[in-house]
Amino acid sequence: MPSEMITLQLGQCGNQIGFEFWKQLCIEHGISPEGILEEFASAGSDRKDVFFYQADDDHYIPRAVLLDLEPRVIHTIMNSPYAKLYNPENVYLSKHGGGAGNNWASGYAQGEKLNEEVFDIINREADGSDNLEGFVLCHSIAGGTGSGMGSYILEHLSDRFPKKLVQTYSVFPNLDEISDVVVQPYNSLLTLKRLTESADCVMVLDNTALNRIASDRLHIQNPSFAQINTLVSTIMSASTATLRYPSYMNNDLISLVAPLIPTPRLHFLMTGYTPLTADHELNTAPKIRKTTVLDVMQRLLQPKNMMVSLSPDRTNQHCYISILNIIQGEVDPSQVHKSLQRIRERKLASFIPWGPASIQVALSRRSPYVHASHKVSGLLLANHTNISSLFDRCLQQFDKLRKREAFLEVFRKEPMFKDSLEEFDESRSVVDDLVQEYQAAATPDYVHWNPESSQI
Amino acid sequence: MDFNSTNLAAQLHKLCSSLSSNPDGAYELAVSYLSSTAEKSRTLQDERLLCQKILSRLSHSTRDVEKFNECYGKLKNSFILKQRVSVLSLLLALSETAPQTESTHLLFPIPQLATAKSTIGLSGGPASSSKSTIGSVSWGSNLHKQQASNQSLQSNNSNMPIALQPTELSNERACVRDAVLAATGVKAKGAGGGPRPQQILYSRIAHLGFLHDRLKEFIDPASGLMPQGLMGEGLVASIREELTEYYRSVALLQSQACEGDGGGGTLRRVCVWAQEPLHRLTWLANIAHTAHHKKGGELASCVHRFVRHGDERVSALARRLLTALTYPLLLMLTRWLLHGEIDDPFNEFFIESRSGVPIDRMWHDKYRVREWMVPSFMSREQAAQILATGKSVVFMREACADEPGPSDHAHHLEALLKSHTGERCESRGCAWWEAAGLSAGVAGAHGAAAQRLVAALTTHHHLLDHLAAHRRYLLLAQGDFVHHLMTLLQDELNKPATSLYVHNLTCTLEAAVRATNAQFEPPHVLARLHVNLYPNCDGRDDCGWDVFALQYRVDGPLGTLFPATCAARYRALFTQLWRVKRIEYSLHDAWREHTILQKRLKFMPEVWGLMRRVSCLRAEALRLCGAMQEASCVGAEPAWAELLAAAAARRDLDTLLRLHHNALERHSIHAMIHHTTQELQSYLGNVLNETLALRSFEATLHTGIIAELERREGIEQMKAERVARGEYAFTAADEVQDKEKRKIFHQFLASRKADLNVWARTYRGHVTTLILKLALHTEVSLQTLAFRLDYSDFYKRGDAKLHEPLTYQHKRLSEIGLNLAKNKLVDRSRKK
Repeated sequence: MPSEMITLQLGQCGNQIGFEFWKQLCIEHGISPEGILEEFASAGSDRKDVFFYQADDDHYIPRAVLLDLEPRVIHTIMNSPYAKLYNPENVYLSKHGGGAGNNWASGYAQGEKLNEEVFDIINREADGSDNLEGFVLCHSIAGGTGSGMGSYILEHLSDRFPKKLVQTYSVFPNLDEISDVVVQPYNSLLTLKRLTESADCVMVLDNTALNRIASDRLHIQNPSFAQINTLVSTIMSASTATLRYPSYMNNDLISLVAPLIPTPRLHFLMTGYTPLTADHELNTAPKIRKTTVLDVMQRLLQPKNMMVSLSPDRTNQHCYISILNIIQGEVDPSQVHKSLQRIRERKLASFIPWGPASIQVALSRRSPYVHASHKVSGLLLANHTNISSLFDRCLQQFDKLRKREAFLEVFRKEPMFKDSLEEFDESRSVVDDLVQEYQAAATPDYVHWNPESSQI
Repeated sequence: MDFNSTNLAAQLHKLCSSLSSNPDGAYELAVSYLSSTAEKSRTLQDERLLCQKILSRLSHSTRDVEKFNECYGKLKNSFILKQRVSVLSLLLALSETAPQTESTHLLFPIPQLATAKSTIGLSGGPASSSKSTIGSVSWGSNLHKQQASNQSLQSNNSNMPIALQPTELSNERACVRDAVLAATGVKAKGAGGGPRPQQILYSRIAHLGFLHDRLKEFIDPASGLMPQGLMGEGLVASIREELTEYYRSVALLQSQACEGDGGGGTLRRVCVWAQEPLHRLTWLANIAHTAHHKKGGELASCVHRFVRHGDERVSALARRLLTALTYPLLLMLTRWLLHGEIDDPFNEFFIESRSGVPIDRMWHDKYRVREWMVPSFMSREQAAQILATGKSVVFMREACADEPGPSDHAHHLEALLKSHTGERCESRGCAWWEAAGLSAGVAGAHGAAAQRLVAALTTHHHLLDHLAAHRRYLLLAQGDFVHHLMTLLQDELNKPATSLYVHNLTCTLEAAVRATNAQFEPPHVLARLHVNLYPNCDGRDDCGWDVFALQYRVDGPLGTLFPATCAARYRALFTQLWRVKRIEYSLHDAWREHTILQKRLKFMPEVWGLMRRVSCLRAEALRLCGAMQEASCVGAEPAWAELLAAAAARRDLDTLLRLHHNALERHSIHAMIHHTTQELQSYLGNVLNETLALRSFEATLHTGIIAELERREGIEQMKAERVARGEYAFTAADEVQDKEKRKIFHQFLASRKADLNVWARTYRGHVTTLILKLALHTEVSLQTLAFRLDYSDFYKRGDAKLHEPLTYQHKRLSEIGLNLAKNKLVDRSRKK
């Protein structure tokens, strides 16, 4: 099968969202937790092979590599009903099992150390596919394993598989609450540099926004990880829907992301999803809401449905670089045009001044095996210049710590920072450039924009 | 009686001995036979028994019983009728045999020149009044028949209006004779004589003769006026029958009016008698006149016009004629509907079969409705349904090789035919052509036959699969397959067209099928999927992309659904969609190359600006490709959905063909290859060509940059090696050379940059024109495409032309608004 995707799950967060993702995919494709195709799903016209392959006994096995430096989450997975789903050879647990201690540098160093073994698995998995399209990396940028080891793998994936795309689902830390991981700003910034330079497409999942959505939209007080991760898996499955249910367009990752990303560095995408229903609400009082294409498309443009929380920026006129709506369900195609018209009349979205832009709409099929409580649901993938505010916040937090030279000892212990902290400054300048490029993208002369460093 | 019987016995014996070898045995037998019938009649001679029988016959209506009793009482008291028993038995016999003896019709009134007090006026009907005797004769009524057969001219009638003088009487009689002769077209000399009132009466009667001659001429083959064909013959025959009836009537008239002793017939009486035949012959002549030189359905239509005549008598007359003349049509129709055969030596049927039509065009071209031959009692829809029903039968037999057994649509026809055959003995029923059952029967037969055909096509010939496959493979709906095929073919198709071979490409196609979801298609679909090359004849140097096409071969019965013209449209669509897809694909490639290259450009900031500019323009082109495809798929989607739903519901083949055509049409419009979008097609062609130019521009740029990158990396490596060897890392000569190279590279970049600026201007010019033309196009969905292509008003800001309210936004809004309002109105009226 061409256009396969290999999923790499890193660290606690990565494995948790990966676990939810696979759960969701299994349900959508009618695959049992043991990997056996359910009888009712045998005549499907879906493409299971993008994310699964079949073992000799026809079991479906996810193209997934599970990596972690500490055993807790992986053990939970291996004790769940889905334990038999994964290829045990693809589950890699560091032998000493001590984790990365929420330290980017430790994760990075361990990644370097384990690099042979990890890439053995990845190579084997890549060899098993016909025409690999790329990798999906699930991780958080704040912890140790996902961010540190993730950074290492990111850097080396593009070396080893230069022609393959690397897409990441990166969970950004919740900035509303004080984290117990004190070095979080350092970790984030260091990872951001790799995401900027080595990844081709980053789906930004902001824990701040996820928590806000869980409490505001789903009315869950103190949402649990599992509930947040369900949100993420919904996003992940919807954004891969057009790959799994082929139709005229957007049947491979590149056709999905290329129109969204006009220049290589502006590859941080925001997501939004509507309508969202929490499980507990479904059970107690099912709120049946009327969903139409217009309704869904309008809601998708509302910041409160966005999985990224952006702070308003008064100095810049921020705008959308590109938007893709993946609409699933019973859609009357003529509704799409009407909705686009309405959105423009009401000026619900402003676009870049330096080139044409529009809301692309991809109509996708929905899994026939999942009961949908809504007629229409939609996912938004958008490239918005104001995502720079998120990076800006990271920079500010980093600067606060860096100014005080706080918590640097743990980094100095690792080989990378033994001699100098140059890496910090370099990362900071990369992220700063990114922020500036995004800000420039909101201005009419972005095309002729040149950062000071690149003057000829 | 006794004498008679002995005489009879002797006679009988004589007869037996002469006829039979065993005279005694035969005589016995004859006597027993004769006596047995006598016995039968004797039992009936009992008057009381007869009354009871009559009463039992009338028992279903108490009123009739009462009436009978009343009349019977009168009869008993009657002085004139003595043989009550015979009268009663006659009446009974008549009532028993009535349905059969009701001869074809009582076309012409039996002359009743004299009227009498009704002696047998059992019914007490209007016949008893002398005034209304003739005028009230209504056709086909039993009672009048009885009266007529029992009436005779009575000379001593007290109702005789005028007692004529003897001389006048003889004169009058001659006149009457002449008049009666004149009524059959025989010219009498000196008929003109006599007083003026007589002349008027005479000429009125003589008009009958004129009409008679006209009809005679019409049915005379020598005159050339006779309509042709079987149906014409039907008309002629029934007119002849009418005339015969007329002759009978005239003969009776003659016998009553002219012969006998007194001869109660006066000219005036004959004239009164003539009223009815005159009316009838007039209309017969009218009908015959309009039927001159006509045949078949046309003839039927022109007779049918009279059926709608306000005069009930005319309409009944026409109805009779029409029934007679359409009988051959019914036979042809039945044959066509049941067996799909046309037996039409005189070209009268309203469906014609054309020779020399290839099997794949059978459904479309072989049979045709002759519009002018469709009888007016049949609607256009019915004719079309009949055509389709017969075609289905033929199709099932010829193409599906599936000889229809007892086909279900025969039931509907049976019902139809039954009503007809029943009609012959039951004159009150409707004729087949006006029966309400006709349209229902035809519709039913059509439905059943169509269903059977579509069911056969769907189950045996996988109609649905092929429809879906056309869409998936020729219209690129199977995205994963198309994408993979493109990936596999890419290198091959970049070669010039002349170096391509179909068999190589076929292998690639198979590989693409194996690797994608196409592998799950049933074998009968995959076996039809082929690769073909369609070289252009104009001697251009095409590359593989220009000539490559997928082909879906359908043959056999399905050739009907997808005939050659249809295949050509699919190919045109494929070419266009494949072209856009391929351009999009190459832009994706460029995007990927750029992303990969970008990671190596960290130390070559001088190219960043140019690369960003290329990248932005590429994104612009990519967006256009995407919007184009989105529009063409989404735009045609409803039409396809309708088709698939209809096919799944097994609607009739003609509906499916229409919907299929419609879907193709929609798709063509959105792909801008429709004949109404030729102008757009060329503008789009410009845009796509420019996009391809950008792709090759970018390829050159990337090659140049990579070469420079490699040179610099080489220098770095050389430096490192030299340092390792302990030499100077970089000599002055090296530096000069490096500077030179860098200068060349910068010149390269500068000229690329200039090229790009030129390109961008051209490209945007083309796009602006395209958007403008799209916005001005009459097709609303193309206007919406214009709206989507310039969703953020980027091109509008750049070009004043798009500002003009009348040409762009204003028109767009007003037309779309108008359309929306129209739709709303339609919706509202539908709801009502």
